Amino acid sequence: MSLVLDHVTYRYPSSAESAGALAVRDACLELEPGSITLICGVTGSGKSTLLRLAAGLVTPDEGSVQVDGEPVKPAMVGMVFQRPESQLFADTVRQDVAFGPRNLGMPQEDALTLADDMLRSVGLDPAELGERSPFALSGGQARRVAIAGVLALQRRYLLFDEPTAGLDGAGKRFMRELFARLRADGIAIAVVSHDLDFMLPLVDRVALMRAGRVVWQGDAAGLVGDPYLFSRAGLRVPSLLAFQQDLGCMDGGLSLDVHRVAHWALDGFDAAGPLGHVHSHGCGDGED
Amino acid sequence: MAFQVPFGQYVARESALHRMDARAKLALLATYIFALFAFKSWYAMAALVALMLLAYGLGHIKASLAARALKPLILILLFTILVNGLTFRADSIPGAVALIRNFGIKPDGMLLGCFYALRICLLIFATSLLTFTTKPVALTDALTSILGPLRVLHVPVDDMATMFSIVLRFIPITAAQIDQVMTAQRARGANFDDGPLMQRLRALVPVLVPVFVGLFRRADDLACAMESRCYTGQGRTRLNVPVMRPVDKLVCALCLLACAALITMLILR
Repeated sequence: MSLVLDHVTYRYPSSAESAGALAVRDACLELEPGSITLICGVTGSGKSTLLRLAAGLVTPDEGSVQVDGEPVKPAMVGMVFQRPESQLFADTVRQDVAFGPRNLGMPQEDALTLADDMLRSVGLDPAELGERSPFALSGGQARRVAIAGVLALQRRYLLFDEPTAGLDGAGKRFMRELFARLRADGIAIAVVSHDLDFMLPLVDRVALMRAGRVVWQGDAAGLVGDPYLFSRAGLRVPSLLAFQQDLGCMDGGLSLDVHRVAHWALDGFDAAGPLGHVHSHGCGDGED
Repeated sequence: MAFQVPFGQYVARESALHRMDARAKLALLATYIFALFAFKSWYAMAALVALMLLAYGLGHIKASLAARALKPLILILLFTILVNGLTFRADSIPGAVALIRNFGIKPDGMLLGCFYALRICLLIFATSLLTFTTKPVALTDALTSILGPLRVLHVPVDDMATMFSIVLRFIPITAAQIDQVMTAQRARGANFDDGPLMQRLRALVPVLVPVFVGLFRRADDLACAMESRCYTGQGRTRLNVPVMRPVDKLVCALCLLACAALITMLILR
């Protein structure tokens, strides 16, 4: 049971000025239930196109995309686009969230009930906001409504394209809690993000892309242990890892808990607890 | 994936049309459109079609590119043909073929509808060729130059030219935005391709609302950004002042002559 991209290649359609560019080349990726995969790379490396291929929104020129053994079709996989709040359209928040289930044939009443549940699941009160216009919401609320609209499809595979773009600390905290909850529910998640400092502590696996190719993929711990892999994808080493490198502590000594540091950055020192500890040998004298 | 509307796009090529001064091209376009509406015979229309194909050849642009711009107009073209070709008085019109009681087809009207549809197609081809071969900035400068004398009548020429260039710039942006929203709604199970016409039209509501909201927001942001960079619309100078070459002047003179000939023909008709 997984979402598998098998040697997928995709070329953009040719335009008035140029032949179609190769966006994704021979990419392989597998999303497993209850895991979060981070896809990162420089702008134009093919990350968003890879997500669209995984969602069945574009058809690969070569290779295949399978969801639980079946060829992928639109709406088989949930996808949250960049700035999803800009795609809200309905008269009321409730109707907007119910749009997907209605398209899938769910009766109106059931879809609206589901919409209320989904609004609650993203921390919004349907009694308060359900009948409001989606255009009267704050930016953060609109983002949550848009995410609720995708969650309402009740898919086992969810794709997020730059989910933290433009979010403040509270918005990022919400995203982190959402990812944790979805993973605990056995949902397979793929996230395209440039926000490596935020995402790395949350994910299980990482795929690095460069010029349309997946140049490296593996456990997040493997990437954290070898920050030089980032340069293979043309990326800057995330500041937490760079900090650790600067301290010269990659081989022992002070070991920063990057998960805790990320937590601290969002929630404050007291909530996060100690940021790291010092081994008996190495570069520090004190504790924590 | 890409929802491409070629109308309004500039296509970089090395050609005589690309090198031609934008004012001369505007004069050519105006003359062509004048001729398009002045002539009423199929022979003249055939000559104008040939002229248009020749112009596309000169500009090194495939005519199929402009044909793509016609796709959204298919309904309008069909409506033009049908509204001229169908009648509710088939019994009293000579040559009409009755289908249901007095409702029927007028062969002459159908032919006239095709004539008007061809005229619309050529109009799109001609205006598309102008934007394919002229950069928006050059077009704006040309309009400012042509409309310049109206400043004495307090016509906001500079603002009009800026608005025109922004409109041209927004065409591909709007197309990209439509594509983006359609893809997002398709991911939520929306179906734009199947079903009866009314159902497909209804399916466009979830696309048009966010697109318009997004466009208004973008327009508002653009206005603020322009104001914050001290845009006033008045007294603007040009880094590169367009200069007409002798060949451009010759084209303008020929256009004037052609227009004069067309006016004479219309008066004498």
